[in-house]
Amino acid sequence: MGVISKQTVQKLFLLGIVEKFQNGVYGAKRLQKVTYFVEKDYNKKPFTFKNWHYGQFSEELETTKEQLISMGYLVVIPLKAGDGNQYYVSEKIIDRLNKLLETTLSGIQSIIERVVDEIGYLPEKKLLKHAYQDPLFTATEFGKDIFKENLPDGGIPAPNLSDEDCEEIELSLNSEFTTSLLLIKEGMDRGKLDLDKVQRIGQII
Amino acid sequence: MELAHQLLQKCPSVKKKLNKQIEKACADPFHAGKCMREISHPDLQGSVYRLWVGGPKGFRMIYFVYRKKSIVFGVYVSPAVRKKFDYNKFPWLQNAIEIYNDFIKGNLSKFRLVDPAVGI
Repeated sequence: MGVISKQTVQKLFLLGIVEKFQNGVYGAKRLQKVTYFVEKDYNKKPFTFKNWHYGQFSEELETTKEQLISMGYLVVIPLKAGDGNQYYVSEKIIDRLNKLLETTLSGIQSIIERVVDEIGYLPEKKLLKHAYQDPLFTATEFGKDIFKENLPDGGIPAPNLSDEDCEEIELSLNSEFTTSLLLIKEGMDRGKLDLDKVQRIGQII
Repeated sequence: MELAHQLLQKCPSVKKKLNKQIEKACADPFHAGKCMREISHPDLQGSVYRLWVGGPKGFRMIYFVYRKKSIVFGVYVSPAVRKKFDYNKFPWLQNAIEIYNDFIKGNLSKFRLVDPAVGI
C-alpha cells in the first residue's frame, strides 16, 4: 500500500472540485467558496480557511491553484475584463483523478457533486450572499481561521495504489520537481552546452 | 549540491549498480526506465524516466532525455533507498538553478559525460 503526501492530496482535492464543474469554474472567488462548503461538510480539511476580504478565503488554496497552473494540470482562460478567469482540468489527469481522490479522501466525491450542484452555478452575487450568511463564517472574527487544515503530516494511506503508483503521482504533482526539470531543459536550450568541453568518462568512477 | 560522481566515491557497492543502469539508460533511454506519463507539462511529456538502482527496494535514478542533442541527462540519484527519503523535502529548485546557471555560463567542469551515449 502506498502513501500520498499532504501536498499532493491538496492538489488532487482542488482538481477534483474543478473537474466536477461541467464547463470549468468561472472565477477564483467561486472556487474558494465551493471548496469551503465542501470542506465544511467533510471530516478531513485539506485547506485552512479564514475570514478575509470577500468572505471565506484560503491562502494555501491560492498557492496550490497557481502550482497546478504552472504544471499544466489546471488550464486558465481569461474572461472579459472584470470577470476574472475560467479554470478547467487538463485532459491529462482526468481519467485517474476520480480513483486517486476516492482512495485518498474516501466519500469526498459525493460531497463535491452535491455542493457543486447546489451552489456551484449560482450567479456570483447569490453565491456570495449564501457564503456571507454561513453561520460558521459569521461566528468567526475577521482575520481569524474558520477551520484549520488537518491532513496528517506523514501523508495519507492510499490502499488501492502501489508504492510505484504513489511515487509517480507524487513526483508528477510536485511543482518544484516539474519546474526544476523545465529549468534544466531551458538551461540546455539556451546555454553553452558544448559537449567537447565536458570530461568524458567510461563509467562513474 | 552533491554530485553523483563525487558522492558515489563513498559508496562503491551502489557505484557498480549505478554504472549498470547508466549504461542501460544510454543504450535504450526510452525503454530502460519507466516513462513518467503523468507529467502534464507538454515540454516534458515523454522525456522523464525513472529506474531502480539495485532493484525495487534500492535507490532511485531519474533521467531526462534531451532529444535535441541526444543526451540522457541523469537528473537525480536518491541519497538513500527509496523508502527512506521524501521527494517533498529535496531541494529540487536550488539544485536546478545551479545546473541552469552552469549551463548558461558554460561552466561544464562539474559534469561528466559517460561515453558512448548511443541508442537515440
